Amino acid sequence: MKVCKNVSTFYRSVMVALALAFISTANADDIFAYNISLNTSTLRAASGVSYALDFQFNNGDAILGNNTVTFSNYDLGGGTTSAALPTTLTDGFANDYQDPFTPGDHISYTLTMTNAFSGDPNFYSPDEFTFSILDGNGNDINTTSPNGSFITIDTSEVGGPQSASAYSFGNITATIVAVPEPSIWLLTLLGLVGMGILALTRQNCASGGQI
Amino acid sequence: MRIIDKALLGFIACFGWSFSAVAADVLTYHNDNARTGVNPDEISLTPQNVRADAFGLKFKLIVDGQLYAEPLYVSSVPIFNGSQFLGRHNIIVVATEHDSVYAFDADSGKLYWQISLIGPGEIPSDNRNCPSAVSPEIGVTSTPVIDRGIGPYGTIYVLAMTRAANTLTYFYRLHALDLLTGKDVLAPALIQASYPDPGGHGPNYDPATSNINFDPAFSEQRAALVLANGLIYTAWASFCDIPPSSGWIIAYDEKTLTQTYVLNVDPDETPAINPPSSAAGIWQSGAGAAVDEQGNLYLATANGPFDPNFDQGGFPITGDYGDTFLRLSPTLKVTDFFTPSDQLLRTTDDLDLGSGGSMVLPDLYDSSNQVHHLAVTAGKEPTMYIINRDNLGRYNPAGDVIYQRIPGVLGPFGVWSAPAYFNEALYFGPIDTTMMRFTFKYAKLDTVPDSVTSTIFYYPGTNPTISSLGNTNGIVWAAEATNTAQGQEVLHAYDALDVGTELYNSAQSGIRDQFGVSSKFIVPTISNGKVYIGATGLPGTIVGNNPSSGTVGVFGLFNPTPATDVSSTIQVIRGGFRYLPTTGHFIQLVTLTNTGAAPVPFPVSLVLDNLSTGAVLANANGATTIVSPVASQYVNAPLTSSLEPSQSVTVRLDFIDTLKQPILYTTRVLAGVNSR
Repeated sequence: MKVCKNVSTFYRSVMVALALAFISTANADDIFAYNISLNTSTLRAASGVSYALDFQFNNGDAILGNNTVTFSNYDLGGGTTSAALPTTLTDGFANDYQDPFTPGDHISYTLTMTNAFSGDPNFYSPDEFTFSILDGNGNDINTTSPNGSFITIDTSEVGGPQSASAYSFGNITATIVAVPEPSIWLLTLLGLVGMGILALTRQNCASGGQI
Repeated sequence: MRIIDKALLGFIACFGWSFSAVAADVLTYHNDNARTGVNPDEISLTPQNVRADAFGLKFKLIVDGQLYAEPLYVSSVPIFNGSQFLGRHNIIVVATEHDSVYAFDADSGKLYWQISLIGPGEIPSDNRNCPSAVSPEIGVTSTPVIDRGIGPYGTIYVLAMTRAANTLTYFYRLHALDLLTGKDVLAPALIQASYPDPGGHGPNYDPATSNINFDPAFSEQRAALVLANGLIYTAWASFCDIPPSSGWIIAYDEKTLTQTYVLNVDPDETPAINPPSSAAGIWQSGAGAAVDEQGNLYLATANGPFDPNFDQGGFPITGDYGDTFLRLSPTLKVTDFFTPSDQLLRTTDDLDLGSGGSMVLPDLYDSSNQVHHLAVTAGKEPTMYIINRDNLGRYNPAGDVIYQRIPGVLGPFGVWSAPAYFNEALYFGPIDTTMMRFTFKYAKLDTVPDSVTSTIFYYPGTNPTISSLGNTNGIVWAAEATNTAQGQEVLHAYDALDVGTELYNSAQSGIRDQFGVSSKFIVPTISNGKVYIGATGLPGTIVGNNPSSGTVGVFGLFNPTPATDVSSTIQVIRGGFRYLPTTGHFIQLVTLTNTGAAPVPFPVSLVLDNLSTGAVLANANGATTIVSPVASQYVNAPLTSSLEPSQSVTVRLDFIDTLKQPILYTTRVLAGVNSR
């Protein structure tokens, strides 16, 4: 039994460590991930009209470049762009990435975003990621957002959750779904493995077995 | 993780009037490019407190020349002494016929800078043998225009006339002045232009180029400058119809002062059938051309020849457009026109269609909920023309075919002024009669006024200008030129819902509120609880060795009640910045939540203090003037009533950031219908 007790204590310590690690990821340096999608079949139907995708990551706090957004899993639903889609953006002044775009049925991608904030929140503002679609004149397809975007994600001033919002334009509806980061999946998986081992240990100990 | 998918229909609806109405500043003639003449964000001045025992003359600004240009108001300007930052201040910009431009503190009257636009070896122009117009000297006649997004802190565009001191050589120059110092930020553009004259009839015809050339000695620039499409548009007429002159419109790039487009609407300079004629000059009693959302310009020409022989597109072959209401593309192509069927009579009898200002009306809906895109104009004849901007009506000698023609309503002699619009009503100030209010019903204007003033406005009538808080607290302000040689100018205020109710006039309190001698074409400027109104200086007043001085009377409440600071019960959550590449502006959304137990009274204003010096709000509804710190811009929350406990509301901030530096500020929240 002594052996079992020691083993159990060891695995419980591992679990506590994993839990602490998980909690720590919710603080200022956390990375949040989102699945973003828009149905763009309405735009596709308007043949002959030119558009551009507009990705922005603008600084608001005391440090330029202290946050990053990373893009993956692009799916334009048959649409095309005339330049490469961005893979990463760092917050900057008027950091605007535009890409001429022929719409398909939909747009989807996964976005991960860090969450640092620097400076006195009585003076400074969050860093902000926005995703928009521009018309041929470079103006927004004005959405229900007062800033004209389909997606807006702000870093948190207090190290807590980011503020993420999705908007629409007519039949074009944006959705945004939070997804755990791979590291969080890994932590969860490790936690499940740990719990399994712990359960197995208890079972073995209860039956007098040795490990 | 907080995911917010906001339902914002109500939010957008609430933003309706606050988005379209930006009133902290008056940067152009009659408030906006539509020329509505309305400041819809005036909180301090109400029909209740604008009365002689509470409201009157606060102080006067004395300047070195007569005033024809409307004073312009610029809120929250950072002021420096060398490199020392002295804080932000609201300023008023005044341009005179002595070719001076002034920047005064709008709240204290302190002079920040004065600059002369007279070049070396030059003097202001003489009156060009036209003593009945601007006299004895001509300098800056047109209302300047200001762009806060150009230059480090904003740029004033102003057009000045001078002449050589020792010869009768005349010059016009378009200046771009730094808002902070008054100094030229670009080399001034000397106005020169030419335009094809296939017939070769013009006195200024140059056979080498087959063009006529612009002649500054015979061109008067009275219509307000127009800023649209990144261009400064200038429009030109004659001095007392003295030939050779013609109707020029000349555009310049606002960033370079490079000439971009030229149009002449009487290119052979023919002075109609019986001279004198203004040859289709554009003067509009000082009003600027109206501009629609697509950047098209609308203006009316004075008397001059009109060619009824049309090309395949239906336009006059010779390009002669006397007495015509024009739609011009941003590149100054005539894209449509309306010429009254009595054009020939107007030309021979000097009945300018273009003696008054035109206005682009807001979208109006008929009983079938069909939207109408309309404009209104009127001239030296008592007919009002409501015109469909999508199809102006062209020329039909058998009778006008336009949206609505209302004959005989604008007094005996028509208008030498610009109308105003408020709450589906039009306000006209014709000459030798009362000021009138006409109302729209389902996109049609009533053909009789529903109220008129008891005041008779003699020549040149009056330019009604309106302050309000949204659709409430409407006040119509009007300058009266008393009909005597040295008569005092009078400021009147009327209830905008019934102009038969006079709230105040500056003659009610003896000499207390006298501010100057009557002048012509005066337009009051109203912002942040004060009224600024130009006049000729008092007799005997000599400023800068110039006996023809001018004044600006500054009116306001004697004891304004301060708004309540509710910052302690309002949680302010900032979003980040979104960049608008087409304008260069930054948009930020800020959420206000009432964390207190009591409602916060309407209107609720988010005040930005300590704002980075290179930043300014493009959509401010006002700026503080009595609740310290002053000269801080604010934006009103999109509410129609109080902010209830636990209720949140999102405020949209639209920043210009000329220095391209981080936008920093602290916040305050003020509430209630009292002065900020």
